[in-house]
Amino acid sequence: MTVTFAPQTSTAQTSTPLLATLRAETIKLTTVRATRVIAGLTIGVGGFAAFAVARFVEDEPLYVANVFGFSTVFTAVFAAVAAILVHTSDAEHGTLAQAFVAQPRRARVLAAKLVVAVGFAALLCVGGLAAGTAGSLLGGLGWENADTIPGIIGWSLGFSALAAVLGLGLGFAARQGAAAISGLLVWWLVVENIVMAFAKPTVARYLPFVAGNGMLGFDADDAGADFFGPEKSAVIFGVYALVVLAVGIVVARRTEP
Amino acid sequence: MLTVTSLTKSYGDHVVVDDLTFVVPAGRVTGFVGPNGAGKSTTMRMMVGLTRPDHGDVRYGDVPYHRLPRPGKVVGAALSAAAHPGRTARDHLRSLAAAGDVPRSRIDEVLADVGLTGAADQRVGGFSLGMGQRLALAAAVLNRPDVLLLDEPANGLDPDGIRWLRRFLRSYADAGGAVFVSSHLIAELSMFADDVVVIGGGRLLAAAPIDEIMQAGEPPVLVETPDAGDLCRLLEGNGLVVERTGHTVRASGTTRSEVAQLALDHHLRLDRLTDEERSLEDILVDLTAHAADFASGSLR
Repeated sequence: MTVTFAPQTSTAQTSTPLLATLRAETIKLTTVRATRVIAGLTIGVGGFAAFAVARFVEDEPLYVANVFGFSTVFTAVFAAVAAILVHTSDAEHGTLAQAFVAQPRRARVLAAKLVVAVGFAALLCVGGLAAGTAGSLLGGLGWENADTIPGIIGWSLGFSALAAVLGLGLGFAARQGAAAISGLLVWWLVVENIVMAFAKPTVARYLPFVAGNGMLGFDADDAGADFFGPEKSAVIFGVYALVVLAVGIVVARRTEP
Repeated sequence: MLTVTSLTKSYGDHVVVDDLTFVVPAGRVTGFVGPNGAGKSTTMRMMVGLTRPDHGDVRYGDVPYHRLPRPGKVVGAALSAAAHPGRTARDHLRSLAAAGDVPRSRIDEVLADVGLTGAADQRVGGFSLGMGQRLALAAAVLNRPDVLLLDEPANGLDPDGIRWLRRFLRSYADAGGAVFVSSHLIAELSMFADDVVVIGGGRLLAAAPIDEIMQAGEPPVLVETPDAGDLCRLLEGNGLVVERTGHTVRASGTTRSEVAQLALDHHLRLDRLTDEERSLEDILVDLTAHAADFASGSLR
């Protein structure tokens, strides 16, 4: 047996602490299967949704420009789930303690997680939009109104990133992946739909994910909510995301890992 | 060198660690022992900033943990065999190497050190407890730290693994590192530790070299005599604590020469007169008996 230990034989530090922590968090994200599954689902669901809309919706004129962005509705969910897992998989498996031992300034670890979660959300968004574009083309749509595409990409990136911020905040606060994910999905897919069925559209548009979808500028005729424009919707959803993140950071910094 | 000063931690009304002060010197293996619930794990978590003490501090050299510019270079901690079960051993170490800014080439070195080269690309979820412990140890030494903090590293290791761990930690200390290792395997610890810190009920009971602890106090005297009943009465009459099993009498708080003189004065025959051999485990169990939160029943 050889112990490759040599006191004081320091390897020169080449990264700032934040950059080192960021690299560590990136490796953690990219070396678990859940990340690949989420990326696959984002692309698969985004592509299929666009294809299905292109093939089967016939009551309005459709182009790639007004269909490819549908993928973001799903991408935002997956981005939030992935962000939850960025923290909860660490907390649940005891590796959060290792991260805090390696970097005692916990704010740096939490900041690195935020950057990684938002960065991954942006990648998911791009993948989802690409799949949405492919699905639209496979569904036979053309490139009319292409000048709106850059705007849709921008708002999609914003919605996905803010969804990741909100998801990460939930993960920080809950520490349990199952609890945080089920809470998120129940609120997003059940509670808001129930509220939209009963509340006035002018009230429902203040719900977080109604506002999030409002960022995409979809036609809201059937949605049960009177959407604000993308800018106001972004402010509403952004406030929700930042408040949840702030609460999560307070909990994460105070709780023993 | 690592210095723990007046470390105190309470949860509600329960004082878990109470005014703990001790030193872990470089080049030595220091065992950390105490009964279940004595506060060992809480103490170790405070030593690396995972739990905030109510009072007191821990310094590496003169620097508190949270002010160390590169904590991983100074302290390697294995407080549990934690790793994401879906990640391979190599990827687990890659993330830790990145956090500590350690070159990737070091990963293969530590995997070889702990005997996990062949399992490097297996998912940790398929590891045995012993393999998990080896991986935790690999993570702790990844950054070539000056101080190793290990919480029950022998848990789950087979006898060969325990022997390996013993040699590993001994050679680490011999190379100049400070090793601080908690263990409930006191007999095992006595084979390679230089010093021992004993706590019970969160308080320091002893902190000294093992040799010193072994020599402290008078061992009980064992006597084999056909006059065991008379000898017991005689010894008890002199205020000693005596246990009798057949023709064997065990007397505490006295010496062989005092017992021999008493027997001679009263014309009692002694067939054998010896000091009871006591292991470190015996001594420490006696030392911590009053402080044990979860003491065993009648099997002692």
